Amino acid sequence: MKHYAQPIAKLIGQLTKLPGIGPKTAQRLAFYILDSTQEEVEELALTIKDVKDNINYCSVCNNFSAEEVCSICKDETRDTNTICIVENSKDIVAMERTGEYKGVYHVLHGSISPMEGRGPDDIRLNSLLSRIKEKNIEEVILATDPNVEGEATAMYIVRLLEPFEITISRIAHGLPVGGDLEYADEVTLSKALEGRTKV
Amino acid sequence: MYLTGLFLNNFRNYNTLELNLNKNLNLFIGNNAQGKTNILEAIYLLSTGNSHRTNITSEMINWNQEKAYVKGEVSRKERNFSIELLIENRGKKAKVNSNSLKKINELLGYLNTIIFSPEDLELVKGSPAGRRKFINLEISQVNSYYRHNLKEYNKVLKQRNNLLKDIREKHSSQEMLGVWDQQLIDLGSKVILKRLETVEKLGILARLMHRKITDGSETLKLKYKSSLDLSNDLSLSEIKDKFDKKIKSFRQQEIDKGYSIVGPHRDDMLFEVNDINIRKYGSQGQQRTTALALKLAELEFMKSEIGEYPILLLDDVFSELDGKRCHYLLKVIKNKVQTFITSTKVNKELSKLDLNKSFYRIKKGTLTSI
Ligand SMILES: Nc1ncnc2c1ncn2[C@@H]1O[C@H](COP(=O)(O)OP(=O)(O)OP(=O)(O)O)[C@@H](O)[C@H]1O
Ligand SMILES: [Mg+2]
Ligand SMILES: [Zn+2]
Repeated sequence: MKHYAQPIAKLIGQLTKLPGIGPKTAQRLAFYILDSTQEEVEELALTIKDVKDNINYCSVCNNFSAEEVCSICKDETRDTNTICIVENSKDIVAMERTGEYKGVYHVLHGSISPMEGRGPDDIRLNSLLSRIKEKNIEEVILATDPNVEGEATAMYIVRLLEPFEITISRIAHGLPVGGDLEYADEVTLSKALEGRTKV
Repeated sequence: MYLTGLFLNNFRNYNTLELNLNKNLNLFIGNNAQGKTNILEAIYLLSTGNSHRTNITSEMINWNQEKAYVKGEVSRKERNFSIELLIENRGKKAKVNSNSLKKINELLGYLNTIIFSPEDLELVKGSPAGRRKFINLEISQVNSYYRHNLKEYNKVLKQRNNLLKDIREKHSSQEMLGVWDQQLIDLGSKVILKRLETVEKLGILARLMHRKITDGSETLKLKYKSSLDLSNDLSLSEIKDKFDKKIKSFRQQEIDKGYSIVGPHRDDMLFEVNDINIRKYGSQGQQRTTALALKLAELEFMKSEIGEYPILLLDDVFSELDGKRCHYLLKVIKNKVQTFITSTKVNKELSKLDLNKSFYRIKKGTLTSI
């Protein structure tokens, strides 16, 4: 790093923190930014700032949203009695692509993982519970990631929802084991939705 | 199955090496520290994605180079293919028929090998961890479901151990164990069941081999020793039940210790010759005969699982085995198992062998055919 002027070194350092970006890629990106015009750089910087300023969590499902309530929760054609629970907002995108699912979502923003010091209080389970208590929820679909943390989270939710009279199912079939839901292709996901199991 | 060709570039003390291999026997003769084991290491690497003697990838790259490359041409019953490995300081990348694999451990199963080196003679008297590694690799090479379950089990184990520590330090409540226990039991029971099956099969095969090597004077028994105190012939659900009960009865101990003390990661294998525990009371010769019988049993086991013999890598074992054991070993592999043998000198038993074979002399990373 000592070969770079300090501001460049700082930028490379920041970029390296991003997921999937190693030192080499960070260096390439940094020089790309340096080679860009003043306007381009300002627009990029503004866009980054903008996304943080203007995107909030949907007050109903915790999905990222530019408004108080996200477009899915607002959509009146959707079945609000069925909730699909996912770990991240990006999982909603994968699910929506199948076109099969007509219910609404709940985003946990994480999974239970003792190794990372994340327990049930660190993911959005309280808001899930209030939703279930207040709204007339009939069915819950657990679509947490098919890895051991996602599995533990799903099992925990099953126990949590035991007192309620709700149909609970877990998406498990045909998904690539150990992978993230995001990477599952549409066909396997559709199949998974058809074959969801009651737990 | 067999290797038809091997190509090394900047691997250990080899600059460039291109070898056409004999379908039966390939013999590498050379003084110490010339590069004999390095060749076997390269073949093992093609088979498992890992070295059999180091966990540090960079050690395999020639000191004066940045990266190394290993390629093998494999011929199997149904298909021929190539395996390539690029070794760099930051890691390894593998290709099969020029298609990149996502992860290096996806290599397992393409080329099956069994390696037998002087350290393997320690298998019997060594630590339980060595025997678990042995059984895990044995099954993983032929069963991808086992491989998957074991990998997931180890992840659950890590999470659970973290949680146990948290509970001990009062950062978390005992209730949280439930979701991990369930997975530990589920995956762990599958691992145990497969191991039980395998140890039984291996046991029968090893007993036969052992009896022949000892002219029928000794009877070898192989037993799976589980932390769950299992008896034979249990079904998966029975194992799960036992696991569940055991875990509950060890609850407080596990919390006090801060890690899991029940499960397949604590299990072991037991060797008995004429009903005597050979690890504790066997002579060195008995322990070696047992290890040899076990290795030969592995050959037959893999054959029965995948329908063809794996490749056998014998590193310097002839110096450690007496004439009779050598003779028997060679008789078993003759004409059916592609074998790579390293030795410092041409052993009497080896030269007597009337078998299609290739001899090479190795000197400072250079091979000459002899
Ligand atoms: N990364 C490396 N780069 C260059 N040379 C290396 C590297 N790693 C090991 N060597 C050399 O390889 C040689 C050891 O090779 P190997 O272990 O195959 O010996 P061997 O022929 O099996 O000997 P022995 O009969 O003692 O077992 C040594 O000379 C060592 O210095
Ligand atoms: Mg050697
Ligand atoms: Zn919403």
